[in-house]
Amino acid sequence: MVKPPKSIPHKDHYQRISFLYQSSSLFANSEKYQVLSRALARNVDLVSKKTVLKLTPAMKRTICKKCHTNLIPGINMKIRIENLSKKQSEKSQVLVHQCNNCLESKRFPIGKNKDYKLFSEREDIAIDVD
Amino acid sequence: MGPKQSADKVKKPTKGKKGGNPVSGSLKDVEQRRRQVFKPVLDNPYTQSNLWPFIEPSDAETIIEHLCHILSKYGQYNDLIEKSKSSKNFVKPEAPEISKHLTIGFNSTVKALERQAQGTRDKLAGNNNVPKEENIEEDDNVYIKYVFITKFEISPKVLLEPFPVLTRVASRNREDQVKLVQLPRGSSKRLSEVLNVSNVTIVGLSNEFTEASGIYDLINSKVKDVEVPWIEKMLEDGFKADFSKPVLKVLSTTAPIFPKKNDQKKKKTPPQKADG
Repeated sequence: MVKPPKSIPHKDHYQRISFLYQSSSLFANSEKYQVLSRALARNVDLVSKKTVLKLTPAMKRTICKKCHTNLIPGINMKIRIENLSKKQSEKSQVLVHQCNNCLESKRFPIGKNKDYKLFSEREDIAIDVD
Repeated sequence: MGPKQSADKVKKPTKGKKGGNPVSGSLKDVEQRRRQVFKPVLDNPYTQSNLWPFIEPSDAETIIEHLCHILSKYGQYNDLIEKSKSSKNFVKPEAPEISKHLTIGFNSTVKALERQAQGTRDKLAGNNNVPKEENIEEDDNVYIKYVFITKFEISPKVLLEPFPVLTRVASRNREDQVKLVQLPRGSSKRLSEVLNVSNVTIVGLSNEFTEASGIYDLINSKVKDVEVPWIEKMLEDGFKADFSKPVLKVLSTTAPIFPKKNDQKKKKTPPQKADG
């Protein structure tokens, strides 16, 4: 059995992305710095692509795919459960996160598999490192 | 940056091969042989701690009992409506007082909370006009102050994630916060029975329903406010923030082992270049 590594290479890139993300959310809801917030969030995406780093879905889902707004519930995001099926069966329930800025929505088919767990939430796969 | 990364990629396979047998080049073999690999991922620094306020099991039990008692009238009303629908002379019964102070289900509760968050949004936008805030309060829409969630009976987790932040944002101010109450296991069934609605998991209650003052006192004394440090920073302290360390995890996965041939080619090429 191979042991998990103690240190992670290129930590500076992770630090950079983490910083960009946090500063983006800090400015997320002020009218004055909306554009700055979006630019920072866009950089999160760009840097992670350029440096080929993996971000957890928990992080990526908080940024709008279209306009890169940092989505905060109640402030710039609308959350609803939708069921477009005629039968209204529980299986076709969809959780919709809509960005109030560009009205783009993320749809999560929550009814499909109620026990679904993200890979990053599974304790057997994701291991914490300091 | 570029060359460093490629060097890193070459290194990784050698790590895994330490104990491995010599690898043949057949395609079938490549598919079968996979080595253990650890891939780092960056996690959201804000979703690390559990933000749900803790409730003693005994208190939670009394809360759910009180709640069922309060909601029973509304349940009877629901029952009456169901019955009157089936009969020919459809007379809509009079709604009990509680119906104005109540939201049932995910959508209506979240909608109410999002509407309440308008005040916070105005504040953040810099419009600190007093009349505007008054308008919100005078609306016939009531202020939902207590949100009851059967946390253990909701899955998947994505549904629960927004609540701590949402309740904080929907609060009037730091002192008068919306309370997030998690109910014990099995309460979803009890609520559904009392309300005559199937699968009730989320209930919102305003603070102006006089009959429920008992439960208000109980919750106010026993349940702590939701504390979301980063939201607090954003709402109260302007743009001063403490940045937290990047939260890193490693994923344990597997990667295919490629035939040795490729490695040798790579190893051979650099000296050739040096000669030429």
